[in-house]
Amino acid sequence: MAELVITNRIRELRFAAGEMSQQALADQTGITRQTVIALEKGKYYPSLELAFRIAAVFGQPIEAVFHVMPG
Amino acid sequence: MIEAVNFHEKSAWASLIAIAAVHIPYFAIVMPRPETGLGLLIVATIGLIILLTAFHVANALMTKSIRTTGATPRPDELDRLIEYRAAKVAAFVLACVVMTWILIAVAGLPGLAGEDSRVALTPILLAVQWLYAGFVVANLAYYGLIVGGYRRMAHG
Repeated sequence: MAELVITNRIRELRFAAGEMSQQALADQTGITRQTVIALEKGKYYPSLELAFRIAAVFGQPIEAVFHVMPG
Repeated sequence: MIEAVNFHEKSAWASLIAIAAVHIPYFAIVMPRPETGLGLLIVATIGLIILLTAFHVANALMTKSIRTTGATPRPDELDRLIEYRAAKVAAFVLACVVMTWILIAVAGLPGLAGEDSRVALTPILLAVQWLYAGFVVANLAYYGLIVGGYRRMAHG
C-alpha cells in the first residue's frame, strides 16, 4: 500500500489568526510548543483527537487544516 | 534558549548527563579491580541521587509553567511517542546485554573464566559488574534516544 503524506496549514493559519504564537496554540490545544514545531515541520502526524482540537482553535473543519496526499 | 527546550527533554538531558558522569568513572575504576565494587557502588549511587536531585530541581526552576503553576507539565502525545520509541530500543539493548552475558557465562570467557569455563568459576564480582554495565548502557540508550528524538523532531 502506498504511503500517505499528511501536510498541514498550521503555520499559515497561525499567522492568519493575528500572528498567533506557537506557544499560544500549544496552550490552547494542551500540547507543548515542541509538538507544534514538529507538526509544522511535518515531522509528526497528530492523533485524530489533536487534529480536531487544532482545527477547532482556528474555527476550521479538519480538512481545511490537514491534507492527505500520496507519498 | 534553555527555556525553549521542553521540560521532558531537559529531564532526559539531566538523567543522561548524571548517569554518564557517575558511571563512566565508576566503571573505569571498578572494571580493573572488581573487588572495590561494593563500596564504590554505594558512593556512586549516592552521587547519582545528589546529581539527579540537583539537575531536576534546576530544571524545575528553569521551567516557566512550574514556576507559575507549581505543577509538572504533563507529557503530551509527542512526548509519549518519543519515550515509547526510546523504551522499545532500550529494552532491546538490555535484552541483548543479558543474552550476551548468559552466553558468555555458559560458554566461558577466556581470561575471565576459570579452568572449567563456567559461571561458577568466573570472578563473580566482575561478571556482576558487566551485567550492571549493561543495565547502565540500556539506560543511557533510553535517555540518549529521547534527547535524539526531540533534536530530530521538535527543533527547528
